[in-house]
Amino acid sequence: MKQEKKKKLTPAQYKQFIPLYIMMIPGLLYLLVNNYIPMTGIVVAFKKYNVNDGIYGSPWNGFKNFEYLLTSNDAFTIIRNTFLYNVAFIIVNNIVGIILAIMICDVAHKSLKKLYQSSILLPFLVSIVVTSYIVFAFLSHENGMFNAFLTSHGQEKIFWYNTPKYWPFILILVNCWKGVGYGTLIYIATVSGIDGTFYEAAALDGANKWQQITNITLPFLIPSVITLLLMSIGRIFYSDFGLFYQIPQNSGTLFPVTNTIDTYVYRALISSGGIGRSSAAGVFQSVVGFTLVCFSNWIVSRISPDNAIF
Amino acid sequence: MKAKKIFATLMAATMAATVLAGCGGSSGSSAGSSASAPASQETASGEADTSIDMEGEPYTVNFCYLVAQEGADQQKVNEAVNELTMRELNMKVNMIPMTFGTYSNQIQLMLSSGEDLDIFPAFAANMADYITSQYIVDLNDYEPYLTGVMDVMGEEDYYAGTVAGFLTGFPRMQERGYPAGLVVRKDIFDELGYKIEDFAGIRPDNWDDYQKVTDLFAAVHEAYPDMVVLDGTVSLGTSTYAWTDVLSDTFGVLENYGQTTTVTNWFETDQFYQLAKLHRTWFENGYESADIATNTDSGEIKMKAGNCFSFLLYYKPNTAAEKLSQTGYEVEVIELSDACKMTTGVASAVFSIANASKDKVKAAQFLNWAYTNGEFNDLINWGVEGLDWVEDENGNACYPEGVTAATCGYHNDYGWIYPNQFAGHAWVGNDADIWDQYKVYNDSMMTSKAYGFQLDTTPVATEIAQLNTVWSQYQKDVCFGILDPDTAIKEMNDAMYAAGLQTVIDEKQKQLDEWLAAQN
Repeated sequence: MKQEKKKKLTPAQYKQFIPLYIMMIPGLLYLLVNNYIPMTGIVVAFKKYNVNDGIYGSPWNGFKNFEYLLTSNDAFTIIRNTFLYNVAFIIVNNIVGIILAIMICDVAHKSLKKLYQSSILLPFLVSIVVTSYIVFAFLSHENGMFNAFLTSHGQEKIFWYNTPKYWPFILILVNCWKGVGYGTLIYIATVSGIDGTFYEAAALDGANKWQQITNITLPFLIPSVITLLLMSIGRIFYSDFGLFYQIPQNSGTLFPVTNTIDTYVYRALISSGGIGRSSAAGVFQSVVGFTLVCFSNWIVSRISPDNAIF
Repeated sequence: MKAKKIFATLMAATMAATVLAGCGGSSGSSAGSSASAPASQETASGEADTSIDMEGEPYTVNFCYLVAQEGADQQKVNEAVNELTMRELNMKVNMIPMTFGTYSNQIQLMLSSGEDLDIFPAFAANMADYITSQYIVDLNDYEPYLTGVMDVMGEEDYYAGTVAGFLTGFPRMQERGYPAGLVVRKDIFDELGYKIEDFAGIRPDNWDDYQKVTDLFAAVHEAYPDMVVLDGTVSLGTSTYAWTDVLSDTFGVLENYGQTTTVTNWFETDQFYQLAKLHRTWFENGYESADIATNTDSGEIKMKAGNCFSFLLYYKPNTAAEKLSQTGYEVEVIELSDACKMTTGVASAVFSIANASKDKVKAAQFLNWAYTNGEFNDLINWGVEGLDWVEDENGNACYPEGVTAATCGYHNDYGWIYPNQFAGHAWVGNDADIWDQYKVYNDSMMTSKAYGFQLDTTPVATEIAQLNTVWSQYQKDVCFGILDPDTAIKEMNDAMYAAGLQTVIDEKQKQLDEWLAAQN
């Protein structure tokens, strides 16, 4: 197979691909116009923007736009929170997603399978504001289900929205509930694409279910896992604003564990924002994300070159 | 083979993401080519003709304003407005209604991309950015066209929107002060034998007076143990306009209703401590909702829902009538502070002319007209007369026969955010002379010594951004008494100083001293 890959294609062979390339043009154009051309707008983060001179004509401003973000006393907290939560989200969501995908694929009943699949995806489609009220129904100090349960069992009420120590778990749980369906979908697609004969052969050789999973399903899943992983690493310095702002109901006591780059920027620029400083935050997140993607891809290519994306 | 698979997965994931993400996200660089700064007619020189051009091709004014919700009769209102402006100004109006929910994003996009826009409501917090980004024009250049505004507003208020010599826009005609008040349900208040006179004259120079409020809360709590006595989103400590001249953002204030010229840190004052302490008592005794610090529903909503006795607000002459229509309950208003006129309050929102305007002179003429024409203010506030509202026997506006709040196709009750509600009709339930009451009220209040001064926040923008995050972290928990003020206030102040509070205070003092010197 390897040799076949290296063989050069003759012009005639190229010819047969021409329709495919033509089909690619609209997509490439879209990418160019929508994703690449606007990138030049990145300069606005280094400018003292005014509308008359436009993005490119405005005077340069050095790194001044970044100051409020990086010189803040909270800089460490928000970067740590953003980073660690995302790491936790990636790990938890991938593991839970894989487990769910494998389980769902083993459901024999066709319509039940569809039902499970959809109900796992459903939270992904629920607005974060609605989610925040679902969480509030559990955690409300006055009428929340948890506190009602605690008091009916003679326990003290817990002031959830003022107790930071619970929140890393609450947020990871909520994020998993909400986001896992998306990853699961992709894993289900991969798992159901695995040729059934592998399992038949394994079963003949006496492999039990667990052995089938570890020796067939998981190895097939690795490329998808790595792809999804690299994609999430690229966004590791972005945080889901709704998750960190709406779910904790913007409670001040929780800031040490819920303040992330996005919520910080929102709160800082809620008055007297300016396009320059908001772009500065975006540039910072993208640059760090891009660096991390290159770095992780490099690690992957070290360990198993076949699985690296580029 | 593997590479292919990865590629396929990648594509699948990207496609799914694209589909699912829809139009959300990606708020990056939205500004397109904004090089088209239209060459407007230059400012009128000397004895320029300020009369309205009734002959030429009608100019179309793009007028952005805030509405309570999208009304079904918007199109009819647009037509009526256009008919009116064609008749009186020979101009057309492109009405751009926005709700508060969409306003901040949309206006930012329109401004930064230089979209067609002539007149829009602008909020003081954004002014420094609007000026440096050249989104708005200096109205001093169009003064000859704005004599009507001057007549309506008076010289003092006309210039209230001035930032470092740049006239950003005009305040709206409304109450000029923001005293703190407590709205209580009249039925329970009366039932427990209270009289509003018993609560007269509660002022921060005597903290013992506030015990009366605590006693009232205790009585209500005892009589109705299941009722939330105090709810809503407003606390005394966050009602900063009621106690000091906040000098735009509360980070460094003029204490005692602005009757001083020394900028100090309000969060370290005894006043702030006492206010936090009061709430601490209310919280610990269970008078406040346990969820009050995370609650985002206004007191009006809570009272309307039926299980809330009182909430705090900035009161004005017709608060009782307004709250009756908003909550469905008769209310009494307990006054908790004096009123003071300060720049930040008066110029909190102004009507500005956007730099993107194609004809700024015509825009100024339109703005001038908008401040003087009652019919226009009624149209944007209450809708089309005869369809959405009619005049009742007292001269107030009310719903026509058979129309209710639920079926009315256009109804905002947003007079406070329109140019001049005083020129139009007040809603039914108000006294017939309500606008006169407003004028008396506005003329009677204290005026801050720094009235007319507006901070140019540009030199301290970084510090203010960081202070905003500290304040948003502590304000609710400290001011609602969730945290013990004895320790939490100190902690908050430390965080504020670490974020550069002293720098902001010094800058404010410097700018204020310069301004004061220029006044004499």
